Amino acid sequence: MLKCFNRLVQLCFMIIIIYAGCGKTDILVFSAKNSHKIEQEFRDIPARFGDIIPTEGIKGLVIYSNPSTACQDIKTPPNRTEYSSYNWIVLIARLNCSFEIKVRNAQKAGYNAVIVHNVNSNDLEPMSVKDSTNISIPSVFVSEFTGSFLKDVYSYEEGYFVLINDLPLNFNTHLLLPFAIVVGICFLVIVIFLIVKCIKDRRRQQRHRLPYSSLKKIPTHKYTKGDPYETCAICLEDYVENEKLRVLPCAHAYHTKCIDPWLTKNRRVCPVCKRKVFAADERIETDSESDSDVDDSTPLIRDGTRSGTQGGTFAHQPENPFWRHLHLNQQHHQRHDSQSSNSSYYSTDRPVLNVIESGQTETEVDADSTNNIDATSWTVFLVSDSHSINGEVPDIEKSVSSTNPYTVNLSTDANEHCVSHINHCLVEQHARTVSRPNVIGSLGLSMVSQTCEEADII
Amino acid sequence: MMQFMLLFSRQGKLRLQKWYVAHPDKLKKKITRELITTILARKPKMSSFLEWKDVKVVYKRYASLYFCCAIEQNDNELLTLEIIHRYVELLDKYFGSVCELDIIFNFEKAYFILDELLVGGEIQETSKKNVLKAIAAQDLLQEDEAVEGALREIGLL
Ligand SMILES: [Zn+2]
Ligand SMILES: [Zn+2]
Repeated sequence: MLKCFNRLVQLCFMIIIIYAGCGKTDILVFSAKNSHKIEQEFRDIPARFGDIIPTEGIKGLVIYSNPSTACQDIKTPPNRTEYSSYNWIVLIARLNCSFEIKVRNAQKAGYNAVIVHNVNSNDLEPMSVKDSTNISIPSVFVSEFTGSFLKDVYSYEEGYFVLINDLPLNFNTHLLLPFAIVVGICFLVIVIFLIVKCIKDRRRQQRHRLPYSSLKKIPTHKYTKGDPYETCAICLEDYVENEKLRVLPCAHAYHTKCIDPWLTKNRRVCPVCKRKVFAADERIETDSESDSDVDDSTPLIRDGTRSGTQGGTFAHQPENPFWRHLHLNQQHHQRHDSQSSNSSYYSTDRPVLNVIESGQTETEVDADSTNNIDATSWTVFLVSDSHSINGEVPDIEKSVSSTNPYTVNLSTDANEHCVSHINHCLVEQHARTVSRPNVIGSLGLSMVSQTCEEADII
Repeated sequence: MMQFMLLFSRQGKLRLQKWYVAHPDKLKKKITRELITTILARKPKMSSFLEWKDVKVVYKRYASLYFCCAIEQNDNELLTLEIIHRYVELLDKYFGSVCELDIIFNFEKAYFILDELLVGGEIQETSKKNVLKAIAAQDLLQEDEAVEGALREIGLL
């Protein structure tokens, strides 16, 4: 990005240099009738003496000198009022005497500028004189071709005036402003784009770096003889007694002074094994962040250490989402119904929702709980420790005998409605299981949840 | 009933397709293309379920692969998600830490496993153990045949 910017600056400089370094000027011929349209354009070279041409140019009428070489005194410009707003420019032929004499004569006659044209040649050369004191009018040199044109076609009698212009490019002034605006807008857009890109780049880089707060949590170690580390892979020096080493989670060690700049200023990876460096309590990045380093050889299922999203519903979860909910409900219930504390209890063990598969006892429990509903107006929800999917963990017997029924209160009305519905479903499910003992647990649950959804809708 | 299942990469390359409804090839291609662009445009935090035309689409991303199923209106999305995960687990068990390359180079095995799991768009075998057993038996059979073929070729049988 910086390279880009540099190039831009270079380009600007180049334009300026071209602009400033071009010594050639232009003679522009305009018709008096249509003063915006350039009729003709001639190259010229300003003299090395006399006044410099003002930036806005010299606007004037061309008159051929008499005599043409101007080695003697020449005729003064015609004194007419309709031309008073114009300068008078005299066109003089080269040869016979020095440029100095010609220009001094023109100045004496009262002309405002001099154009000297070459004779028998179309070459342009800068005019110079030995003594330039007291020459105050500017003068330019043009080719013979230009001279004859100015003399025969574009003289003031034909209704033309000329502009001796110092600009290498003839900007039409009324187009200059829109042009400048367009260029300005383009420039602004480029600058904004670059800034945005710069910020984005920086942010991305920052994400790949290790923040200082995490760096502090990565353990350091004073080197003592007999440690398993020998050489720092960065500076290739053997460790000396009492040197401070940083031991990354991948068990690679480096000098603190070597590895810290790498981790904080470059990337949070171990330089040897390329494993990402995380401080002990740092969250391992989720999919969205590790987007860039996923390729077609990344395992679809990563190690089970990751929580939540990768596991199925029936995989062991580090935290049971039901648990929190139940806990909240319990608190809520205790707060509002402390007087009716008759039958609400629940164990502090982590309850896991049991997928009912088969077994008579469960019906009995079910029936029990149904009684419970009648007695206490609390819906009772059967949960047990067993965790089984058809064909994998055959611990149905266990679930029957060792079921440690947690009776759970769900106090909100909506829940009650839904749960009672589930209960209903469970009973129904049981009926099905009796007739079709191989029915699949997960399907059963899905059916329950589906019916529950329907119940919600109702 | 599941209508079809697509596996495609993050770059939008189709890796596996299984159709449980009959469509002309042209329509299949069209559906595939449109669905892939739709899903790839979604952000990671967005829901895995979307209503797309007259079907419900359930998709999930595993590393570089998107697993995408289209189900009917009255099917359960969560169950479908469960099936997808089960399939991934099966692939993982069979290939051992499965990655996209495994599926690219052994697509027929991936199809076999899928056929053991799903028949006609309905789940047929939920037990991972049974599926793997069936696939292992199949592999054994294939090996036997290969050996037999080789022996016959050199004229020993
Ligand atoms: Zn070092
Ligand atoms: Zn390392």
